[in-house]
Amino acid sequence: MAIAGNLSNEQAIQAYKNAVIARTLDIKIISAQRQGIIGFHVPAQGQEMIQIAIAMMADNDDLIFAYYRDLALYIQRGVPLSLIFDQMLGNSNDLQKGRQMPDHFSFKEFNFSSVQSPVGSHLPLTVGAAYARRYTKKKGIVITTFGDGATSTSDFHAALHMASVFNLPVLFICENNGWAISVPTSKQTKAEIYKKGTAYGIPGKRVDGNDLIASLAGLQEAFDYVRAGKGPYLVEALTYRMGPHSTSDDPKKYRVDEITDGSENDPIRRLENLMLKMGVIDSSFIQSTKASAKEEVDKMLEERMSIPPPESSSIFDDVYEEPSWIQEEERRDSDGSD
Amino acid sequence: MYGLKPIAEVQFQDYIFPAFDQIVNNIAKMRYRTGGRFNVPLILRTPYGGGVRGGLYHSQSGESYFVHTAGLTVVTPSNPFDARGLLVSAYKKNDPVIFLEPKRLYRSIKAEVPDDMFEVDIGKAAKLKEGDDLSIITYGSMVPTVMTTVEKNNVNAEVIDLRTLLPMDVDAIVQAAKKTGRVIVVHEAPRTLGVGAEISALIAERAIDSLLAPILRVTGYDIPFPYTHEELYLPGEKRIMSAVNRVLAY
Repeated sequence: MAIAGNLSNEQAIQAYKNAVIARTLDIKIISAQRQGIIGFHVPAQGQEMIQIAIAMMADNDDLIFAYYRDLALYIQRGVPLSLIFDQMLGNSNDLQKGRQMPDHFSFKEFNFSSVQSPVGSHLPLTVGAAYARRYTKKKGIVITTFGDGATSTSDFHAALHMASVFNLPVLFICENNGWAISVPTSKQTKAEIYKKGTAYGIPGKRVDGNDLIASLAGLQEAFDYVRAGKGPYLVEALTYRMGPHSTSDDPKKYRVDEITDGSENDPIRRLENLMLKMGVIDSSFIQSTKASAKEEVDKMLEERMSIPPPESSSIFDDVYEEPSWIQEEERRDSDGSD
Repeated sequence: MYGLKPIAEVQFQDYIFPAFDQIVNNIAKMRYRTGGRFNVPLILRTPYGGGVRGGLYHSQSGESYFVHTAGLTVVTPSNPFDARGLLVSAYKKNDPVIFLEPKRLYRSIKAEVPDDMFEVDIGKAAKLKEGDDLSIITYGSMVPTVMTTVEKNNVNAEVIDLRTLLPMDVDAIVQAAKKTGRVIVVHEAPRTLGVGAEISALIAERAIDSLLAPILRVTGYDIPFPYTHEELYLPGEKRIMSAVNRVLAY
């Protein structure tokens, strides 16, 4: 059975389950942050469906340069919850050895690059990676996500320009959630974001990022274009930031729009309603999905919390392939205390 | 990061600043922030320094900006042999190297370079001249200036060419200070927080008992690089000799 187009019932159910896990995880992390267990978080609530759609469309060979608000993207691509929590906690199992803030993931095995804080500054890297990919004749395209604020950075324009002039396989996806920290899109740009590639010779498309089916349909054209070697493509996914920018700000101070859980903008509620209406799921399925997500997430945090932090002397590793005398001396002089 | 070894050139070091975020936050930190799972084996060549009538956008010596950034390696040759040897060594590294080329020397000096492949070790200074009365530590475009000055004035100085600015050859620096007890640092970059400040601090921490005179810095001034009076800006024979005489008379 297909729910729409090529989307089977099973795929839709899987997408729904992952979206629920991402939402549950998000809520759990915020609560852990409030308790001082996790240092910081950039909630992704409201943006789950476009992220899941991207992961569904991407091949394993595709490289992804994500930004810090992409929890559902990681989950749909198969990154285990344990590794996500390890990074959020910065424990000794964290692949990055506790060196980056929460949400700044790098999962090389899943072909994710490395997240940086200033959104937009990763975009020139995607162009370089796409250039290398073509030069070394490796399979796969490069996909990158960013918010609406990033489109005002010079790096965004430099990246679009270079990707286009060298005809590189980069799929730029703007998750336009309406807000760049406290700046609404209306104060961010006078033009429409999906049209910003036009001057660079890059086609663009706007999709409803709150709707899984619309996102998949819109992304299909973009993926086909880039995979066919026609050059870069710019997608603007309209979505909605249901929460604050991060755990460090209070949106009540600047948001004039009303944020309500379960609103028609909530992408999870929309998929839920569609599947209910089509008889693909029933209300008991929804309840059990949410309950088992909560159980899984709660259990996983409890388990990962018990993992100790990395060895203190490891802060001097990986500055270079081999530490210079400077790091060696500082390591020797540091006794592990502050 | 993805299997290539780019050797990039930024036409003038003065033009590097739009890429400063990429250099400091991405290039220098990629290995560290990914727990060693990604690395950036990049050589970034860039001409620097004054003396070519280039005004303030073609004359700056910005080495301190890079030396202050862990994760980078910073080298600067003062002659064709070192230029080639350091480039080969930089190529073999799996980490980013800022390769500063003193542009004034491009056409002002000529030397034969062996045809065979050879390397100049990164992190190792060169002693260009033996001497007993004082030690002059310098690098890049100031090396020929210092050598000419001490030879012309029969100064019994040992001259150290750092060649690598990050990590500096601390042993060579400390040895020089201990040997003569009198140290001058000469560089084109402005004095405040220049490489000379770090050299002075390293000596103060490790060899202060050997010092017979204050460490003096002969450097570019703490002003934007001027056009008409560029010769005034660049340390030359007069300023170097004035420091030599002060240190010897102390």
